[in-house]
Amino acid sequence: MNREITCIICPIGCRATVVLRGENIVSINNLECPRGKPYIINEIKAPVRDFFSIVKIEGASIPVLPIRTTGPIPKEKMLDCMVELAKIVVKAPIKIGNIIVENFCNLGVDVISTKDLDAIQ
Amino acid sequence: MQNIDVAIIGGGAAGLSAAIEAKKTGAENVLVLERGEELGGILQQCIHTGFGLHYFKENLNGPEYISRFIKTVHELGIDYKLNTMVLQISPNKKLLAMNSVDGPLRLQAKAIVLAMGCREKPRGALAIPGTRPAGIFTAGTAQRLMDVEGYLVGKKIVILGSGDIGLIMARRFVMEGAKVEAVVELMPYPGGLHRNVVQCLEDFQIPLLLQHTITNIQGRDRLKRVTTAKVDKRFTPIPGTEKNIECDTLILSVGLIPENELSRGLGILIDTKTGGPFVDEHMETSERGLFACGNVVHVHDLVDHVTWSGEVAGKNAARVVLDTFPRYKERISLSAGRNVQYVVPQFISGKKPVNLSIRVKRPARRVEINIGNELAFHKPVVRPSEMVVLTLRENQIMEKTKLTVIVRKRR
Amino acid sequence: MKADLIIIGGGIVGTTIARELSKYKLQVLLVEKEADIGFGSTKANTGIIHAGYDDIPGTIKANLCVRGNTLWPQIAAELGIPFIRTGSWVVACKDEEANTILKLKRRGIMNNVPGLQIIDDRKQLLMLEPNISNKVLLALYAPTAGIISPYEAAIALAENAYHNGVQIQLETEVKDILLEKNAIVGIRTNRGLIETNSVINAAGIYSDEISAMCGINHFSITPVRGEYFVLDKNLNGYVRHILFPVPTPVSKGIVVSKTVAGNLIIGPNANNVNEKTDLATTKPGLNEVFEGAQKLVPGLASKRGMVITIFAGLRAESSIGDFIIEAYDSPRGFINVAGIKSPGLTAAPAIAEKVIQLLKNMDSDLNEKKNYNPSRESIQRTIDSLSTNQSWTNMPKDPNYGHMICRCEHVSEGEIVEAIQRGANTFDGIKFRTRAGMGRCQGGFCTPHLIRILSRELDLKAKSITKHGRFSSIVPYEVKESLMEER
Repeated sequence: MNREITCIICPIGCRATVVLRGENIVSINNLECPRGKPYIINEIKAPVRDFFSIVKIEGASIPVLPIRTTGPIPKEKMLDCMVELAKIVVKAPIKIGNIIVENFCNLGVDVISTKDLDAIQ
Repeated sequence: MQNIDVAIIGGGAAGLSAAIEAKKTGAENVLVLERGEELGGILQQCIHTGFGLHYFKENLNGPEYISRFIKTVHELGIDYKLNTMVLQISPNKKLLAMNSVDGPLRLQAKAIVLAMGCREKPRGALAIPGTRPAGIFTAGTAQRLMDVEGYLVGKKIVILGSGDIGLIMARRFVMEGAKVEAVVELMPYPGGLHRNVVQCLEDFQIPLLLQHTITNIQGRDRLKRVTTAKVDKRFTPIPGTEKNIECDTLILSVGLIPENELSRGLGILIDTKTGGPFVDEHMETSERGLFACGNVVHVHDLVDHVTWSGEVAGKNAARVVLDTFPRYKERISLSAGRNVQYVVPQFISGKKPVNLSIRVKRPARRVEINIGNELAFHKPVVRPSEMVVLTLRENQIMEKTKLTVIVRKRR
Repeated sequence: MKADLIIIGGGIVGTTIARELSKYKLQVLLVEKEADIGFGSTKANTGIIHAGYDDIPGTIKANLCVRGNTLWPQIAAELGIPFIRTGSWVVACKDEEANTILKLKRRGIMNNVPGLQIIDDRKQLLMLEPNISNKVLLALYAPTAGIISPYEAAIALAENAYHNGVQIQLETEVKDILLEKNAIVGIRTNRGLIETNSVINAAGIYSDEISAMCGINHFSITPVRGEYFVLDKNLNGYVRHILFPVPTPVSKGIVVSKTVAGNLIIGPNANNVNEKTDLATTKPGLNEVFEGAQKLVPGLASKRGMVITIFAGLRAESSIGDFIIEAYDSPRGFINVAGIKSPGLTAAPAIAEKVIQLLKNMDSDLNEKKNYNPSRESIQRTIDSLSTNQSWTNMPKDPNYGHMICRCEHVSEGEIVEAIQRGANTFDGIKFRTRAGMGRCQGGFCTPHLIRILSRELDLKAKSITKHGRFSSIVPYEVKESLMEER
């Protein structure tokens, strides 16, 4: 089986063709340089993505607080994580860097606040 | 009339770094005038990561990136006014601004930094035919409504334009439970960064319709459907290729325009290629003591570069105040040649190193960027979506009055 | 519910009549099916107060147009709305068009249009209008023509009528007119029955349907769509007069004019459409308009990038060809004011006079009020108060007038709140009263603020805020709602 993956390591954006046998990579073709190889392997084996969103906040000047996880998470977990995140409501005041959820969805990363929001009356 | 040293119009990425650098350079009385209700400008709504990779060597989101500058503004005791709209600037550096606390504010500055940023092209600029229902937003407006105000503007989305904000919004919509039916792009290549095409569209199997446009908008109250069509090489819709897409929302991500209404009122010279003022290596405009930085000069794709341009503007604005501003007699003009949309700055002295920002017109592989007749830089690939930044050292500059920048295939 | 008289339609015609009737001791109710005043044809036309040389002498149109033109300056002054007498030119670029110009002038003289003048000195023409086509040969100059904002006018008229006692009911659609023994006894609406003995039909493109409810079927209304471009205010001064091409039998042609706000407006074309709700612009239509405008002002070719919005409006073209302003023996109490297309805006004050005359002829029970107040305070514009050098300290009623919301048109929060207090309940309602969202960014920056202010002032959830009423919700959902539904 072949899979096409666009390399994002440099601006060239090679469209790599990965030949797979089951889970195993047989070959990676059409990459112009070797730098993209680890990325492509990662994209096949365990692709991860930055995770960021907003959560509801009460008692602040705005109703949502921007957050991110302290590290990337598995790509296939992103939508599940969004559903989990939707259940969370935090209360102002909150500071940038405050941990909102520890070990989010057992992924080994924390959800942190990325903005200071004061409590308002 | 209040006297200030450096007035900074706009408290976003460009304005804050200019303010910080002006203060650090020695200007005492620096005032930032911000029309929004908080400092930070558009970064406050850019909740995605990828900011600061160059400037901080860290991967931050927009609010985090700008919070570091806001913190410094507070630490340095830099004065700012929020909810304050600058209505007029005169060439003798008098300002008229307005807010609800002070009423009309009349200020006299010694130097001014323009950092108003840019705005989005609305539907009218494209003249997309059809009705005028609710549900049509520019990407930045939808982003603000979602990520600051907490509203989801719709559930079945079509995005016109594959610039970075459009791509980033596509992902945000999917993540928040909406369906993105398609991203429609007029050009044969995407308008945004490569990384965003992969992580915002391919990850979620969102169709990217290249060489397509929207030819009709339907719906009386709320948007009901749009019609897409393939375009030919002249960007004219090809009859027979029309397809209807049922949707409740159309997001326009079709270009940004430097916001230079105040600059125009001032009479400073505007480069029709960038849409922003002509600037030199000090980010000084055609009026002495009037500087400009960030997206008001030209639309950047990375905030790191905006910050740097703000620093240059702020530092030199302070030097005007301190009477240490270097004025060179020499003036070399830089102009855009083959496959170059624009070059900033448009004027340099040739007496010190300078970073050139070059925007190409078309993507190309294995190119040589020629600056004048003597200098060539090699690049494996150039794209309109990714600004080329080159450092030019003073000893590399041979020509005395004019340098043309061209991008061509390597020989 | 009960009223002495009901006006159906809150467009420019209905509101002018309402204000005229508010001078009399009469319980008047105006009903409008849309969410606000002026949301029909009134919001989507060129906004020209015509001089009156176009219409065939002797027609109702011709008489009322010239009369209306003379009435508008005072009305505009009383209502505190801008009216600018720019003067208009009909421009001939070909020899064969010169004849039409002469014919128009003769027609104008017969219609008693004052001051008409033919300018045939090309040098002078190009000096007075530097951006006009250099093919120009001569022009018919009508000094009395001017411009107005039609929706501002209708809103101001309605406000003034309201202050003089006229009741206004929005989102009220007339379903039937109730008759007994050849006389009107009431109307049935989506909001219930309203008793009345008199109905004035000012329902615009729907006036044939309203008329039919009374069994009066001798005319029909065809919606004729016109498409427009509005260009950036940076083009203020690009043309100085209202520029018309030489008219054709169907239309006055594609106009290039400035608006009272300083934008440039070009349009309209004229196309019959089937649906009375068909307000869609079309590619060929827009091309036709822009190309038409370029014939008069060729420099527009390079100004396409300065277009800030496009829109279409519908004209109420009657099968009779002239305005229909008549009362009937059967049913008694019904007055048609139908088929009011161009120059309807110009003629509106004269139409209202004529309606009063009809009413007086009918039963002459109209007694003037003593306390009628013709003047209306307009919304206090922060930006204007700055430019007129008045001391700010005595300007703002509250600090909100210092908080600028719309950055393109410089509209303050105070103005927006005032607009809401005066009846704006939608985005478009705010736009038409304050110009917020009407500038070059077309609401890009102020949309979130307008949602917040509307929802605060009207005590409504954000999802209930609409663009123009009905189902035109702007932010229909809150984030996380749909994610929660998934589980």
